Amino acid sequence: MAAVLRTFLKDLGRFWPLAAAAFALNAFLGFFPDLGIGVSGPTDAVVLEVATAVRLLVLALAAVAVVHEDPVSSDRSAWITRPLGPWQLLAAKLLFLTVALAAPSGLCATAVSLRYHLGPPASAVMGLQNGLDVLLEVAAYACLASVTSSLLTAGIAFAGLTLAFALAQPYLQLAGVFGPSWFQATGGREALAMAVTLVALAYQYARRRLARAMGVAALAGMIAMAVGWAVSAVTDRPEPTLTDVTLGVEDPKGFVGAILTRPFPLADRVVVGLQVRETKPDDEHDWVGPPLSRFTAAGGINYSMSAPSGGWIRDGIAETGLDDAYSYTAWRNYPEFARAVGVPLRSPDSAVHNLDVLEMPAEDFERLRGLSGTLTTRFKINRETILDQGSLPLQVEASSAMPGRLARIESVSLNPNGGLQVVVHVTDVVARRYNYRLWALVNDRRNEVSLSGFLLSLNYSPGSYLLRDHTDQISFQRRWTRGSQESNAGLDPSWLKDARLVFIDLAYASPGSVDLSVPGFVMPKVGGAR
Amino acid sequence: MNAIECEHLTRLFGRFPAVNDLNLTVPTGSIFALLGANGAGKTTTLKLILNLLHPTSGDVRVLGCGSTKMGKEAFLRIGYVAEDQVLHDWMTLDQMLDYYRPFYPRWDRDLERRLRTMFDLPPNRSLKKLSRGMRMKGAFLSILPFRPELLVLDEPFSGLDPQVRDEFIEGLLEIGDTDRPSTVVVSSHDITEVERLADWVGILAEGRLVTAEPMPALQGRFRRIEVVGPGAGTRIPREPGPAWRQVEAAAPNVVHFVHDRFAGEPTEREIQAAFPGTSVKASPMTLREIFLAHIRRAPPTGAH
Repeated sequence: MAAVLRTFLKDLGRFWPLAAAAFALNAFLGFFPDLGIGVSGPTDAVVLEVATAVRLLVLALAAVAVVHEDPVSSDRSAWITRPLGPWQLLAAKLLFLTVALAAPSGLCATAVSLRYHLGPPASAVMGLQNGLDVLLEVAAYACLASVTSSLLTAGIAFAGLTLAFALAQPYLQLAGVFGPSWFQATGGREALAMAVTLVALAYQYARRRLARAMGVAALAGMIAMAVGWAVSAVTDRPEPTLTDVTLGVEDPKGFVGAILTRPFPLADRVVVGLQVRETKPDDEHDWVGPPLSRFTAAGGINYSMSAPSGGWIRDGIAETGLDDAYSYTAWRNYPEFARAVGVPLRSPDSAVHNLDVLEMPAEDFERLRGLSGTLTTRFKINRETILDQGSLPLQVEASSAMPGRLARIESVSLNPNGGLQVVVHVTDVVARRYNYRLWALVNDRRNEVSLSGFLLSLNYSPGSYLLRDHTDQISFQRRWTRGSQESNAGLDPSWLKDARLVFIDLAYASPGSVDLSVPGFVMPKVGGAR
Repeated sequence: MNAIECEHLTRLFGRFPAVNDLNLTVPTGSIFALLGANGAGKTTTLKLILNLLHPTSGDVRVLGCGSTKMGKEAFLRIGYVAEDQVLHDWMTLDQMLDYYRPFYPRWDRDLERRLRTMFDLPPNRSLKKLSRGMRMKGAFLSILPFRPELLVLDEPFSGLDPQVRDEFIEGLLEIGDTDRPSTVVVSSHDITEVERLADWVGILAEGRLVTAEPMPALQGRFRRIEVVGPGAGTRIPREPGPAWRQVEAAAPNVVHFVHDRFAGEPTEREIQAAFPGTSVKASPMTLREIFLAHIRRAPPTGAH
């Protein structure tokens, strides 16, 4: 331990300027005066982008330099003939990466979170999360440095890897579509890459054999992939197929739906996908009711299906504990999926909205063959989840904080048709990934709930690695009594007086359970036979 | 007991054998000079011995421990200084010693002070601002105070001016028996310098060991022979003796050669029998001359 500490202090003695520069950049980016609620102007954006790029460069330089201080790939290094073991050296380097680079970044994130009134617990989590992210990032650079002996060779290796990654991207995307669910899941590939990286790093320190280290890393990667695929073979879904079932419709507003099916891996289930495609993308339209596939988390969505006559067929299934991989038509994978199943693909960003996924018993699906009708959805969400995620008093200037996110109402306005329009400015602190969001208006006194319609995120601002903000425009049209099949249009001011706006971040808590349900929802734009 | 034992040690770089089936022993307590021309395999051999490189085949034991299993404990007993070693150049001498000192429980502060006085190094100038000779002395200073049982020096004199070489050697010699490491292995192609230092000599050529033996024995068995005849026509025999090297006619009545198994009077009688009626003169040879005699012929002999 003493040797580890001495080596760490020795490295700190040399590289403290780089660590200080990284800290200063972290602080600058975190406390940039105009960042957060309202970055404005091209100058700010340029400053942010440059500072972010320089911060990344400084972190990479520091990680590479601290490893090259005691080179692993060279037989001329002094440490090899000193009483300093490879594991001690590795521990000292990781200590430097943690204490000098990752921890200050995490502290900055915590400070920024506190500045945005996210509260000590959430801010601590933010700091930890940010610190871990930075540590993993610099560990990757350290791994690169461990197999090179100079900044130049490390730079060449980095360029080569970047090129190789770019060339392999189509295959990775293919694996992302057809690969096992863990590979598709957020962070799955990153976790695999990091595991392989750490194995290579440890082996290189222990043995100092570059070729073998790379071989061991490749072997570790292949074993991890094989295990992942073997596990996935049991749990993954089979290939989807287009069926002759048509539930698609075309209405004057320009929506077309078509059903895709695939066998469900559980015995008697099938998966039904409804592709919703705009034929007239320029038309103004409103979506009401809960969003569909964008929120198909485990157990989080349900449906019911009605015949054209209006007769009830059955409610959909709300399986609990399903892997969210079943929501395979998640937004990011849609274009690839559409290609895979041969769906005509128009502009995926504007003309084709999403592919909604439901699942039901096979026997019920058979009953649907040849039928067309109105698709309805029922959304279920846990009341406790809602309360935990924080809520805003429904008045302009109200703001609320939740883990990783600060929300502030900018305006509330009633629509002429009785609906409600709310504009919310959201600042993501430590924006690791895009989180699906859902808003609800809850009136406890009347025991009624209104769910937001299709969410529109507007006005994305340039952000840093710590902060990114945008405006959400939310519309509310209908309200449901809890536990009732009935819904009513319109949200009058007296109803709103007792309402609170609830934010649900699906990345932090998946919806499920029973308390708040909105049954009998009808998508009015989709109906009638094709 | 031997400090170092190499058995059938081979290291290939691609297909090129930098070290080829090397069998070498370095006796404990010796100052062993490993000689060879550039590219003979000296540095590779030392790196294999210290586990800086992995052997393609063969085994090495250092202070009783297999080299591939040498861990940090082994380097509490082994010191290594090499011309191409990467030092922490940004450090001052004081910083370097402060960093290394705690690693060694047996670090001798008194010896460190004496060596600092002897080497006269600036304590607060970064190593990269020191001359090459000073840097080598600094490296030496970071090794000797922990009193290694084995000291390995790889080309320590390379690129040093004669004055620094003298200081370096005198420094090593003047430490005295009690302070000197028990075994020293020094590789060099600066033969004149190591002749003053070494009591054992090993010669490498093309990755193979040509010879390894105590300096007195080596110098004792090598003689430069001059055969002078009474008149012109002193001929080189059709079949020179097996111990004769570099046989040449220096003049019509003079033949020169090197005898590598010289044993005094019996050898002289044997030579005179080959050159009847001549006078034979045997002269001692310097280590440099012996080395050159080996290099010019260099028949691989394997282990000694």
